[in-house]
Amino acid sequence: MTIKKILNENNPENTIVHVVFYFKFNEKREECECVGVLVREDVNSIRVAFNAKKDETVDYLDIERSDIINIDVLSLLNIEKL
Amino acid sequence: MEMGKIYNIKYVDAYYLYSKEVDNTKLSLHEAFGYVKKNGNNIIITFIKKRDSDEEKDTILGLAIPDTALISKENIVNKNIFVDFKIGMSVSVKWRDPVIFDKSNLRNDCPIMYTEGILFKIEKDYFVLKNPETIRIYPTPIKNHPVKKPNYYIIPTSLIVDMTILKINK
Repeated sequence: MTIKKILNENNPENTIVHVVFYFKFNEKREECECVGVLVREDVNSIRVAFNAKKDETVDYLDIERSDIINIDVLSLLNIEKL
Repeated sequence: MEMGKIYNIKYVDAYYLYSKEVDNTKLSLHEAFGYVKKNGNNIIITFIKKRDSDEEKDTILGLAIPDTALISKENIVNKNIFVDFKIGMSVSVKWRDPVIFDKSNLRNDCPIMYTEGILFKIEKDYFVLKNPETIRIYPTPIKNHPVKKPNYYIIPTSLIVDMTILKINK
């Protein structure tokens, strides 16, 4: 599956994504999901950041494109602020 | 809070410094995205999990924070309990520490830390302690945090559960 490039580097707003992907969990290749800010898109992988300190990414996950089942860009309207 | 809904949270955390001098200390502001659950006075944010599962055992990476760490809750913290503290006093501080966890060490509450040090700076929303010694008292085993003793610890008032004067230095 070819995934179109999502990240627009000229857009100052965060691109929030929900990603469903295969991940090795409990020794099995399971379908997993995560939510975060898409901070990097390469030919073979994407990077999703989960938290930031003073706008610097702290924890993130690099996901191989071949492991991605689905990726959705979320509207800020679908995200609650706490 | 709704299960399965995605949240954006903004919160504060403590931090330490090894520098010999401190000038411009600030509150450390953090932001995170994830699925949120409340457990008593703790907020658990799940970053990665098994698809369509809300079970704790299916969490792969997450974050636990005290509910008082939320910036939106800042005004509910009673700051009057800190009025007797003055710069130069030796104090002990018990505080709750936001923590990242993974599937090998799942958590549904925050560690509790105990810090002793000299009050170096008092701001409306945080304290700076000089020559601090910090141990994690919950969960066990008790251990130093960090292992190498820093020169300063910056602790937001919203994380503090107890603070005591040990000695009034003159």
